[in-house]
Amino acid sequence: MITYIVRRLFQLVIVLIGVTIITFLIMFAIPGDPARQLAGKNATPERIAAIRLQLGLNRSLPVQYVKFVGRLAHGDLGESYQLQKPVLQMIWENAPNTIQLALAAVLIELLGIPLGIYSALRQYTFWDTTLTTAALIIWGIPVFVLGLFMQWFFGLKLNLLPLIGAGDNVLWIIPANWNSFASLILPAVTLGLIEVAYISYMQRASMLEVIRSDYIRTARAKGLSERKVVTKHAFKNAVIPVMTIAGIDLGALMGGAILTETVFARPGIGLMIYQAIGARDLPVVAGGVLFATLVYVFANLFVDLGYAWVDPRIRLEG
Amino acid sequence: MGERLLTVDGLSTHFFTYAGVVKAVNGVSFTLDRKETLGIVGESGSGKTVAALSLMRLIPDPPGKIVEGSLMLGDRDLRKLSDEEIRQVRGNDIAMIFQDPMTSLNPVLKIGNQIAEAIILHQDKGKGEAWKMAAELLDRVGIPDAEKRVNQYPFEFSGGMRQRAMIAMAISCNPDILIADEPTTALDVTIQAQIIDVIEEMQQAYESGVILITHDLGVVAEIADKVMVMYGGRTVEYGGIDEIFYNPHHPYTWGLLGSLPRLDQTEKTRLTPIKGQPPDLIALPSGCPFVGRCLYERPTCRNQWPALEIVGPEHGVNCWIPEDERREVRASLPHFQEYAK
Repeated sequence: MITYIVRRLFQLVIVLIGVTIITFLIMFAIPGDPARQLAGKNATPERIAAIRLQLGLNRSLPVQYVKFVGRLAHGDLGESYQLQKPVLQMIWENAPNTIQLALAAVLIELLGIPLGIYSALRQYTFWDTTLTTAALIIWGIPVFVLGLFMQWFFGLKLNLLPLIGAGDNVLWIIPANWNSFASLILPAVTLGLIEVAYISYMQRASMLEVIRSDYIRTARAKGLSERKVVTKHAFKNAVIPVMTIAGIDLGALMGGAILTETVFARPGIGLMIYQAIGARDLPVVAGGVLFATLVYVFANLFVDLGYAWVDPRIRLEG
Repeated sequence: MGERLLTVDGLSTHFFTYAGVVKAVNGVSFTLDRKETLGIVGESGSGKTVAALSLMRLIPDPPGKIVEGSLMLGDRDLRKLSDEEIRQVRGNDIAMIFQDPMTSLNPVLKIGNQIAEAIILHQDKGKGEAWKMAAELLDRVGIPDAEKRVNQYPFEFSGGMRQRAMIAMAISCNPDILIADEPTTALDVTIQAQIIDVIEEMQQAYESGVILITHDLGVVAEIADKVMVMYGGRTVEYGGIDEIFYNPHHPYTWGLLGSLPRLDQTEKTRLTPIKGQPPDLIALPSGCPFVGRCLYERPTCRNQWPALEIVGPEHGVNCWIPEDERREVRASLPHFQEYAK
């Protein structure tokens, strides 16, 4: 088990190198010059050249990359061109809101498991059809459309919840007061609802497959009650494939967080990256993407560990 | 023979699907005594498994339903039991060994757990004692190192070992009736013989009645006391083992026996198949389901199901061909000629 974790951490290093290279290349490939952007509309060519020199943008791409990685090795992500603040500090300030949003969305997402199982056990009944249809419709709505709808309905129409922003946190990620919690609800539900739909749909399919399998028939032939058959024999087997999907889906959650934070003007890593891309603020984009990657890879690692915990075939054959 | 365990009379199980009513089992009757082995033979789709699952009321409903017949376990009518009562019967009075040991065990639960849960459920034993009994059972069915093996998962067992574990699970509550649904089909030939031996041994030890479902006539010849031949959801012939092998009366039974490879044939001789395809269970003829493949069929065969004709002690057949004509035809078949002499 420990060798497995160590091996995964080595893989993480390779992933990070790949991610930084790709982020660098993309930022240089898209049109626009950070120096020109910083200097303003009426800047003289000399001023632009000076900024370029100051930021090291006059060097070749590989040199810039090596310098970036060299600093990274010392825990230095550089400074924002725009705000002249250390990127690490910006991430530190913005991460709690995003992690809070993602965790809240994951908690909501987990509702999909009981919903999917309920649906599967009552296949083709009224509730199954209703849940499945609703799941397919919600799954098909882009996250920003759902976000705008939520704002309009719960914020403007019903005037129940704040439209935008985020509140103070205690212990890094726990909402400090009701207002802070209220401002989390709409973005979390927006982000979580689409995942609930996806997870419940997958859970239903997986449960239907398991409940028809030979070993479930064996369990029934022993005289076990239907409740015991489902909880002891079917549940674990049916959850394994959904866990895999949920792990892969964390990537979608990070992407969704960027859109959700933008729609709800909610400070966080997503909004930070979004604004940095607009300003060609390369160190912030690279730092933000790096952070998102770290979260994604670690989350996947935890999912895989959970997977091994549930399934003895993975645990013992590892 | 011993006490009568099971009397099945006129069992019909149908599946109500969108495509139509699948008549998987139609009016099947048989009995089973203690220590007796009944072989049910027939090709895939002849209704063998559905008949067996009907006994345990394990037919998925919907779409399946037992539409007719009585299933008497001693003096209890299995069809009339409540869900709770039939669960008491499953695993306790009637236990079943399934065809594919690779998929019939739960992959994420330890073997010991899967055996012990039946013991805990039916025998009012504690967890520790049940696990101890599970290890003893594994040892009994010939799994070496049983103490260690109970703590392993199915994927750590080979196919033959898994089937042994399935047998251990089935006999764990000392059932009166053991149903083995093609227990050897998914295994290699050498393992097949061992598994059949284990089933026979367990039957002796626990004095159970065994229903062996198979399409392997060799296995039937080895351990069955009597045989029921099924085709298209109906019993076409039943009788004692010697009657079926040496005095068969139904053209389908002739075909089955004729299709067996023989020791006196040279390697180059081709096997003799029964020509044609099994019938569509949704559109069965109202008469004998074997029409279309039967070489001796006559006009009445298609429209009317023949009455049961008793042709010997405990030997019955459903066929329109008159008895003397049957004997004549059979005598002309190559693989029966040596018996005729």
